[in-house]
Amino acid sequence: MRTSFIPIIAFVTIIGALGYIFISEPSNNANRDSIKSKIKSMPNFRIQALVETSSGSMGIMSDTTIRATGKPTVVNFFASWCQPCLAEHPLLMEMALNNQIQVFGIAWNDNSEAIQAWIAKHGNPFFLVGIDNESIAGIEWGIAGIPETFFLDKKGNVQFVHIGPLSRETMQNGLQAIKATTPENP
Amino acid sequence: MLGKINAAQLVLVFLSATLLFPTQAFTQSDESQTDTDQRLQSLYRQVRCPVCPAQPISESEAPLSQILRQELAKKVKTGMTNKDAIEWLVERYGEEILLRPRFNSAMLLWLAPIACAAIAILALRTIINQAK
Repeated sequence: MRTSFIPIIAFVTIIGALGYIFISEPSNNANRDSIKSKIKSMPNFRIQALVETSSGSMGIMSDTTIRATGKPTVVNFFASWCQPCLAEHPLLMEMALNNQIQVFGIAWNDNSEAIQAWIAKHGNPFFLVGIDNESIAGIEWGIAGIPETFFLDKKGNVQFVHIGPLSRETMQNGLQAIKATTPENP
Repeated sequence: MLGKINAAQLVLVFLSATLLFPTQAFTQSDESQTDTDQRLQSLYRQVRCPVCPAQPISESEAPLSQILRQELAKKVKTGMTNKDAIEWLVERYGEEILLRPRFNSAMLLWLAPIACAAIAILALRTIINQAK
């Protein structure tokens, strides 16, 4: 009699597992054409930064530059030609006021002149802006489109990724994710 | 035996060797280039263009596909195997970057009818055995 329950338990388990898959992966099916980055920690990269050194050459943005801040960081991929990037810009400006984190920008498929003009017009929330005009950093970060924003803890582990323009809710989710990994100062 | 080889013969052997070696080297490098190109083409056919619906980067002219091809070519030419190159991409873009994902949980949905049929057969057999 006891053995007759085995198929029923197996059946219920399979249905439960399938239900879980349906519930947990709706976004994958809805956004089949927009691939979201799957990186787990900050990749190695090195690109030109939008600052001039004292010798007149361009500065460098790299994973080392970002880690050197010793703070949780927000890395935002954007471009001057990207309309949704403009929509999320006020939220980035707001995050820039938070001295517990450091906000970095990586201008994807864009050039330094256009970015300088765009920042002058809309404000600069970024501690440092990297210019990824050949998408070399973009590929290392798993970028397929912009805007895409990464919330990293101070060890450089990715705690939250958002593809598309940030909303207040997604921004708070991201900040909460990095705050949860940062012990409070006594 | 060696003493019987005169200077003219030695020169002839030397000239033959110098003429042969570059040809061999060229053929080997040519074969190796063809092999690399074939490996790259096979790799490009497996990778989905991240900004196009169901199109491999081998057929896509999207700027991101071109950049992915360049990056993969760099990696393969510096000695990375196709398997490692795929792994490198999957770490960044997930299984969705492959036209034929190796495995993901959605594949369980395809196995579900087979699993349900197997359970039904097992249940029937148990019921029949109990009836006996």
